[in-house]
Amino acid sequence: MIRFFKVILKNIIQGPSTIKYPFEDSPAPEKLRGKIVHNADACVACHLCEYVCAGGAIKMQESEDHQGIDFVVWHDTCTFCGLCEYYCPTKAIHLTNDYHTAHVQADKYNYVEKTFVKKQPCICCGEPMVPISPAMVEQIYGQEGDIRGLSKMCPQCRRKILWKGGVSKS
Amino acid sequence: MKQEAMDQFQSLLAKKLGNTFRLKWDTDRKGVVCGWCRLAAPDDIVIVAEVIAGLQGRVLTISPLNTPSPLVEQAVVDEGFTEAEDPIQVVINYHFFFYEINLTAAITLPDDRRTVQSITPILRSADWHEREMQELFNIRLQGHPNPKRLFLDKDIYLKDHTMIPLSEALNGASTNTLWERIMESNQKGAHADEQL
Amino acid sequence: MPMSSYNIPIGPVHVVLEEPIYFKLQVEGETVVGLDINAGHVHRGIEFLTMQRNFYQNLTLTERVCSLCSNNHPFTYCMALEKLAGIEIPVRAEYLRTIADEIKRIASHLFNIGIIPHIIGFDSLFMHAMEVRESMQDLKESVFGNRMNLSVNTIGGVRYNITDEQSKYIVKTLENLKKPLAEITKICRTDASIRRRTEGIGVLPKDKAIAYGVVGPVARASGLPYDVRVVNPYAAYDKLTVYPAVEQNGDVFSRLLVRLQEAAESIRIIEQCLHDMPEGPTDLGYMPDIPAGEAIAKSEAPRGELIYYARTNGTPIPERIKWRVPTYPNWAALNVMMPGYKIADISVIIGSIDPCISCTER
Repeated sequence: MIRFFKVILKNIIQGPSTIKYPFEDSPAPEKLRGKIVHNADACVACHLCEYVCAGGAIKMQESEDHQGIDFVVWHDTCTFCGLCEYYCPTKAIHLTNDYHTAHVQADKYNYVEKTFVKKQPCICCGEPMVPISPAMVEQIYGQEGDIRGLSKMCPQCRRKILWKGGVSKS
Repeated sequence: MKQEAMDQFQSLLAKKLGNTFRLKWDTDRKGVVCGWCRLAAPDDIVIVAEVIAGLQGRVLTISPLNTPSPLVEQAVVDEGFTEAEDPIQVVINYHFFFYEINLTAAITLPDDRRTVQSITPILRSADWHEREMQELFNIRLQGHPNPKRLFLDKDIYLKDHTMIPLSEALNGASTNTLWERIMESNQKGAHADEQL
Repeated sequence: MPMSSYNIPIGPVHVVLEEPIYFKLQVEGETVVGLDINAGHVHRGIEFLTMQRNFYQNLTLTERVCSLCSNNHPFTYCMALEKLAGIEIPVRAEYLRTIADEIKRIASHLFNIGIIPHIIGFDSLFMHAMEVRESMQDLKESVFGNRMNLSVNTIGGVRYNITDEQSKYIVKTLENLKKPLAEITKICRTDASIRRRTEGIGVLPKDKAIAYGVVGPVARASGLPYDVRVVNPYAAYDKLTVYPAVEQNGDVFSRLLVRLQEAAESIRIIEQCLHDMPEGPTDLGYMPDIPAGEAIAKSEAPRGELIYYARTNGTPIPERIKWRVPTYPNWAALNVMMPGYKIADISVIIGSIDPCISCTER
């Protein structure tokens, strides 16, 4: 028992271990998985995040005017597992260390991260298509980038050009 | 030591069952041995249990499964799916452990029968696993010393469909209806912002 | 004069912790003579749900079966699929998996080490143990990104890496844990009030432990030296030396001692890992295809042996995933541990098997 009194004494001198949240700020480590942000410029709309999401918190669908892809994360069903970020080929999805997710009941359907991946016209035929993001271009074509502009073409035109130009030359 | 135990098991089983069973061993690169044994008749599992008990083994777990599983079909086909009348085959995998060896013995129940011989009188460690299988897969046990309900209340009948499983009711995911509301509500929110 | 016998219900609400399970006890006077266990209050059908989701979604789903051993579920699930598909994971990933697992083990054991004094009314030690445990929670939060669900494992490797700076931070945190842990161990060993309430209580003799097939600290406290990390090595455990803690008495006190020693042993294992870990890739770099087949995989969760059985049919959705959690075989052994002891001892006996009900029911 005496041994334990020593521990108690030490703890009293040390003072309380808790913090007075929310009156005092509680810093979060950098790696903490919190609310998701999406960078529409890097996104290639490959739907991989939607595929791996266990909670069904991510939805990607074509907008009504067919001008792009609506990307929505509903934070209320997100489990913050980070699989979407891990499997995102261009790291367009990132889990920030912002853990403040309290909100009023009336806002529950609004509590989303919503972005818009805008389509661009194909440089050959003009058909709107999801652009290949600069991050993806670098991954595929390396540092010097896509000199032939293939990434700005829709799949049909790209196929035609490659067929004409010969794949083996480049 | 491991090799001896493997040979011993094989010869003991062969002595009692002849060559009616198929057995293969696989060893991973860390030296963990897994045996896979397929039995010809469902009642042979009692013999396997006796051999395992003789080798001072125990039951790791029992995994019954319906194959072709109607559960998977449901996931692939969406709404408008009518229940198929395909016969379901029940395969029961018994996982045993003895002398650092993991052995899986599989039996297939005939279409018209959902009853197995209980191995709990031989291996005590099978008790809860068998009782679980009885409730969750509606497989009846013969000769179990204490076949009481484990999870479900005794007043719930297995054939009675008034009870909806929680997993089916919730499906653990956000539904289309929910998503429609999210998309709708968010558009409203965007408009409200513009007015400001 | 014959003593009067009663049936008393214990539970289903708040038996030991905030998890529901129902005991029907037959008592004679104050002594327990028999019991009936009824589970199923938090059955969520997770095994059914895994058969409706693809292999990657199941990583997250299986992690949510349990909280204290959450990491072991996707870990073992991944190992089963890797065995099935013949995937060899990078060596660094094996070490990283081991580190994550041992950190979870320390946190889980410290929780139970705190709970036992709490049950017998020694709340100040409970508070102290929980405060000591807090350093592990901080460690998990800053190295893995969450206090409970680490999200470490993926099919073919791990999803995190350790920089030199983080490695130093882990070593420092563990170093700071050693002294308070040794102090708690000493208090538990010597404190008269703890010994009075735990020594010789809830005894599970060795022969019964074998018959009931108990696993984990419950088995090791009854003199069975069974530890999956040694017997059926996985991840980096074949390259490490692990000394499982074994006690002979099989009572609540022995189980407490086993957990205390194992927490210290885990610190040593992590240090060994950080020292030995080679450089290299941490994952495959692609999403592997899972062919049709079946496999089992085992791991030593904080509560004991966890086994996963996976069967696939070539589609992205598994045909059957079945797991047996460590607490599952330990429940039935309560039939041996409880009879003969007083009603007042029931909660400490239940607490000593470190029960996980959400695991049991899935």
